[in-house]
Amino acid sequence: MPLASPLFRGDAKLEAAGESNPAHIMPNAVDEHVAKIQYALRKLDAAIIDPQEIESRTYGPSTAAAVLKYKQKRNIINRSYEQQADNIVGIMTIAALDKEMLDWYRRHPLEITGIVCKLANQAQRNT
Amino acid sequence: MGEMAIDQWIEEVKVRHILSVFPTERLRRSRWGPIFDGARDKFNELSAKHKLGVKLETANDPPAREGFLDGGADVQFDFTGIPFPSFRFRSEDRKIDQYINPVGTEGYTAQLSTGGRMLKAFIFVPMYPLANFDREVNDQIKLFIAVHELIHAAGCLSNSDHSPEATPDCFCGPPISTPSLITDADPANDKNDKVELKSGRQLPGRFIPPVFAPPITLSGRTVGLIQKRWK
Repeated sequence: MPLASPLFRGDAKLEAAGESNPAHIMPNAVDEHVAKIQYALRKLDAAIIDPQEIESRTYGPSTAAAVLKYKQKRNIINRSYEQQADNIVGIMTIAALDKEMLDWYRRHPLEITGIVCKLANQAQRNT
Repeated sequence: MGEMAIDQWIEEVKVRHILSVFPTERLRRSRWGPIFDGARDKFNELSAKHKLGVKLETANDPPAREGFLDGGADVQFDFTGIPFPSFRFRSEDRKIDQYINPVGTEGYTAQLSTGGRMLKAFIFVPMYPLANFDREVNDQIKLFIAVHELIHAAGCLSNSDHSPEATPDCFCGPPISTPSLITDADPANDKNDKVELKSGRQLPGRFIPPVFAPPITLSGRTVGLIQKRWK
């Protein structure tokens, strides 16, 4: 099923990770899709991720630890091949992140307030 | 459900005490380019003088990447050359319903917030502000408009926060007060362009002179409003 949250939808790598096991996201991955995972972990779990990993959009040790913690907390385990949570973002994890981020966006609706300021009467005077 | 009043920036921004402002490429290349730099510097000068608790920095990236709420610059500064300006945020193009006159002497700030906290601000100034619709206003007037809008953004301030005539400063504005552009009848004297913030009054036995900008100043009232947002 396509991803629905504004953060993830349309991202080719994350969409693939949600569809196919071989496309899961693993430690040492680098790119915008990693930045999105880091962002979600920070918003949903207040995860503390190494600023250098955020800056370089790298799935480093602190990102991997945050993924593991996220999965342990929600008991995300693929029983067909593992007995305990791992630090990989696969089909079940991206689906959980996507659902929670969609809820997060709904809890944080965007409001736009417009303010216009005009200088009155372009009066012409001999100054 | 009504809109929630915006009372401060999101925590990530607030703790930095730095607001990043992205001048668009087209603005940088226009006559507004140096005005933007001057407005940023003037704001920072006022901020240092009055201990506002926030400094403006020029950003190289526009606000928010795809889907992100807090990526990129905090504020975008652009001009409008077409009747309805627009901006891109959260992967969506947003059009502003409010008509912004590209040759008017006005400014517009769109404040984006969630739960009463400011996420981003998008400022638009008129591309070619005219005095009496026949010549461009001088740079001091443009600076006044730019600093005024930056105050809206930095202080999360609305029109109801504008300064009254009793405390005239760069943040005077409608509907609280009616700052007026005063221009010389001779276009060659555009250096005399100024904004009247408070009218002069003749009282028995004495005359209270009007208050003009420049100079660009902040009243204690406006200082207090901004400081409150950054404490």
